[in-house]
Amino acid sequence: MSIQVLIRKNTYFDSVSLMALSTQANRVEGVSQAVVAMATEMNKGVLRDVGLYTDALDGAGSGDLVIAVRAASDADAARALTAIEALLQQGQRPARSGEVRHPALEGALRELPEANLAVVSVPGEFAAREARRALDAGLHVLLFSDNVALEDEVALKKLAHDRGLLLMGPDCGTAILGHVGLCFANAVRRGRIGIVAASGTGSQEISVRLHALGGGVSQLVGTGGRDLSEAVGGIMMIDGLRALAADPDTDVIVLVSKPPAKSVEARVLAEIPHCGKPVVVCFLGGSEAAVQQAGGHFARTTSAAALRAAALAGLPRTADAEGLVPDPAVVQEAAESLAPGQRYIRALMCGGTLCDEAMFLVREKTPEVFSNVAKSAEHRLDDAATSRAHTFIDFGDDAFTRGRPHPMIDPGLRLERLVQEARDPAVAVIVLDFILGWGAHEDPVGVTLPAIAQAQAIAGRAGRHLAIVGYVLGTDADRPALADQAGKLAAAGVLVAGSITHAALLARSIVEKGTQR
Amino acid sequence: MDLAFDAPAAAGRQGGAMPRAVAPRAALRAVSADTALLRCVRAGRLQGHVHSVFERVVNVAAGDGELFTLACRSLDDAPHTARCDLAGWRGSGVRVGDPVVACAGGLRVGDAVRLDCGDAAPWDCVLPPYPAKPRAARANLQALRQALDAHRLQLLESGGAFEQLALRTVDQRLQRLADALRGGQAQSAVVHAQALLGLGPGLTPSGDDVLLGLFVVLHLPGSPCEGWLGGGAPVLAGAAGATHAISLAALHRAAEGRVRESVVVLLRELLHGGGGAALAAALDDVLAIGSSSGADIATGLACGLQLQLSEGTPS
Repeated sequence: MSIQVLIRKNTYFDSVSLMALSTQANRVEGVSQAVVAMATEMNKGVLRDVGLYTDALDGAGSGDLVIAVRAASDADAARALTAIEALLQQGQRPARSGEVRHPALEGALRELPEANLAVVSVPGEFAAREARRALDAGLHVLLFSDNVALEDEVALKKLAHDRGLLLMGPDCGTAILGHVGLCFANAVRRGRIGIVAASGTGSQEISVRLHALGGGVSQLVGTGGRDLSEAVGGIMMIDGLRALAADPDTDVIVLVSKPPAKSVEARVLAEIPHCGKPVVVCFLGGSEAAVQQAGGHFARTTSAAALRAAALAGLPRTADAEGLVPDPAVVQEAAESLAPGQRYIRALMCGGTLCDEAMFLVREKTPEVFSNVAKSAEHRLDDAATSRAHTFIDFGDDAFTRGRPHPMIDPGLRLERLVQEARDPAVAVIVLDFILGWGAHEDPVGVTLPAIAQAQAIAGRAGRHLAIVGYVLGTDADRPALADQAGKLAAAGVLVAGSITHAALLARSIVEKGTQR
Repeated sequence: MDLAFDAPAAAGRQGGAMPRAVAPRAALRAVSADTALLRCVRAGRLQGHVHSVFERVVNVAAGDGELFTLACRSLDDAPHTARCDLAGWRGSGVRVGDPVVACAGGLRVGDAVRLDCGDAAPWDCVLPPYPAKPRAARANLQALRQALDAHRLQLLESGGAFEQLALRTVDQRLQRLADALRGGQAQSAVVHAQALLGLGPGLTPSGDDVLLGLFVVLHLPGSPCEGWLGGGAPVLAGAAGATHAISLAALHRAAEGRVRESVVVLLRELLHGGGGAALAAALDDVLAIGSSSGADIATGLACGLQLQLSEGTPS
């Protein structure tokens, strides 16, 4: 039997971590007893009483951490201490296979000197610092963090621009570079169409539409949602556009964004004549005339953008291209099942651009559209927790994600809202998006089905039928696969749309038809 | 806030360019802070270095030997603590040894953080008065003991030989301390209390947390045992080597009658509340402190309250 002791001078771990360390230390192979504790005089006395005291403890002080192990042999004890020290280094989180953890960028770069991109995902208060360090090291940056100050974003993008680097973000969740999908990217075919997007789910939607049309993506550059604001000035969209213009693997370029600032829109469009390639512009709520005048191809919706890009890339027109028009029979049946008074759409969305696009399409028919992310004050909800008329909620907005994961990862808030909306007798249609891809929830439909069933039951007990329109953004190469998720929705009685455009038009048609009765 | 390089001529230096002073990268806001700490910060009278960094807490050792804490917003107000508007310190770049200095109504922590205390809501520990008629307190103490017994049994069963022996020793020494206090044996009580310092598992050893809870109860205004054990100060005289700086700092605050807000709320419920869900919720908040720290603090509170109730007439 062997007893060995390790002292870590002036080392503090919080109590929960100490307990976890102690538990894991006792599970290390060969260890019959392990203690991880502060080396106070009293604790040293207890260690003596349980037979774990050695001379190494003589010089230990109350601010030191003691790790004492009893094992079958000296070799076992030494191995155990090495394993426990490794646990201390890792912060008790063992790395997954193929994953290496470093506490700072410098160590990571020593491990991987050929790296040319860093993904930064730390609390917003510290993200700018880490992004700057990565740019200073010559890396492109995908800044996944949100709640980054606007002035930091501007400074970082100017720095990146000056160094010929990409600063994708902040709040950028999607990119495909060199055919490597980053963060929330979908598994899509490699192709000849490049995308620059100030919109995560907008870019995802276009990429999966292209895939469905038989095409593919050369590069997908995300810029972060604020890039086309007045303050930021479209720095990364313009740099991304220029990069794709120079990319020999890109034949057609698609730009996608939520509504841009007018002056920035003009600046971006001014780049089109110099690209030398067709550019499709999907700026939701943007000016068709301005795009055409600049020599671009205007697209009102993400589906239209994908269709146009596919055509420009010479892809054959397929049956999917016709799937935008809601089936009149489906609309009729759903409308007839509505009770008097059921007249509103409640869209509960994970994707910001999907929310925007659906909102715009419904607003084409009625002004009674409200949202937590509406640009104009007259359409903004006073209280995001309380719906009004046709309501479109973006659960990915910073107000919902501060201190909690994005709804694509943690759908809890949306599930609660689904049940809440089902209680409202004025609700006719609930629209839900389900986003597949790397980093998303492992089963976004599955985790929502109980809430869907509950919502339907609530409406049913009140003598109402709730039309639920679901759209799954993904491909059959994603895991879970698109067909699997869509099948589950259909089995649950959800009307499954083929695109966000289709979902919005379907919802709009149902309430229109319903109110005409 | 840019790293930039001075031209050598402008700085009067020879040779290559030198970096200018870097402004802190992250601007944070203090949501609330201990009044005494705020006074020091706003007067620019605080200087020290980062002592320790945890996920939700950064401890700073001030030049005068005091320790104060920068806590995340999920934690409660506490003595010598500023609650900061952030979810966690991971990725902050704050490192042990970073200099900390008060300036312009806030704190600068190394190169990583600037904490603005201008709008911080001031907080003070206000202990509830001892009730004139402690009938509710008796019933609430019984409920507390039942909840604690179950909790501590769980802790004992999940621990190894070290934890089990240490916790049993804490219980024995606490009992001896309570007996000495009840018997009016002041010197003996101090010795028994000192035998608890540094004893037990956890970052703040269990014995320290038990004493913390006991000290606070001995400061209850108008209570029969107010001032017993000197409020705790004599126990801590010369205790610098018995436990480490983080635990010692909390003990000194408790010996002044100052403790974190969740403990104050629990005390209020114990002394004046109607029990039930409110008491359970307050206890849950305290039990959530650390791994066993909350349970140990509550054990100290229970011991102190038992003494108070045994003594009978409020002073």
